[in-house]
Amino acid sequence: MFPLLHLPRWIAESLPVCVDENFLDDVTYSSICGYYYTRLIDNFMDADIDVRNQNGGLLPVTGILVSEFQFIYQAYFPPQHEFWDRFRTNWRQAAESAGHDAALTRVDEEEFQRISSRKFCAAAIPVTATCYYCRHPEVVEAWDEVVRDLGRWSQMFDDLLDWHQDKAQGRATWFLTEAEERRGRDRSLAHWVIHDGGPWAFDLLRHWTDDLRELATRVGSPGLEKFLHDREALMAEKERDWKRGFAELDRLAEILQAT
Amino acid sequence: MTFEELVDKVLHEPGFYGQLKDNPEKALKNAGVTAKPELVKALKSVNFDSLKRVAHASDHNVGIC
Repeated sequence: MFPLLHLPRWIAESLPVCVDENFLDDVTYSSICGYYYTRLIDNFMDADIDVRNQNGGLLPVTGILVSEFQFIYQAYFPPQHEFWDRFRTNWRQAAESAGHDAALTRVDEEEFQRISSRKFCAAAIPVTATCYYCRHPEVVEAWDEVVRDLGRWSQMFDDLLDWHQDKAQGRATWFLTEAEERRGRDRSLAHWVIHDGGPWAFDLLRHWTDDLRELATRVGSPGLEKFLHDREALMAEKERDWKRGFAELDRLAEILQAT
Repeated sequence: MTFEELVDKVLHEPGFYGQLKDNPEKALKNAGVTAKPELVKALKSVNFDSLKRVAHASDHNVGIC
């Protein structure tokens, strides 16, 4: 889960201001519209939706979603406000990253950091809006960093758990690129993923969680700290399931091979 | 069956490990394998719930909260 809807409240609560519930409600509505817009586009790009059948009727809805997403901010920030420069930068970067990421045939660490994990950078828009609305633009950069680090964490977690679907659908990810390059000639990709790739990615995610915890302290957000604590527990559960499940799969392979 | 094929079946065909769990004799017969008693006994010792959990974890989407 990416805490898109929680971030504005965490920011407001970390600042010496009264939380404006109306503003937070508006930003939540805007973010939900933005999220559904992004998901629809994502599904079209992954060909999960066929534009020629009845699901294609959803395509024109994307225009409404994107205008609803932007409209909310027009009520709070005049056209010349510096918020709009950041809005344009983040919106453009998110679109470029999604387009570029879909075209990649392999992804190295640099591309993962620069492109794949930047697909989440549109989440910096409600974050930036909240910082400006609360009249604390000096915290924009730190919260931008939070969005970036949450984005790379979420992308890697997704790439790890979805490795099999990504492989089946020919999607390039850093995780699968590492698998191809590190598995060796005589070893299957699945074998590397299960025995080496999983532990490698879970270690990386733990390291990134530590980075995020430091950031949470820096921005003074108990909400973010609690979220990270809960997510660590979720990750530990997934890692446990991974180890147990694939250990049983190894046993099953041995049994069936014995036939 | 190769290791890759087994991973495919476990992650994408719940019916495969479901049948191995519930009716190993039939599952083996369907796969063209003789259901020797020692093989059936070995299959009964596999924790299929663990396989189910890892298969469910592989069906993941980044949501928002």
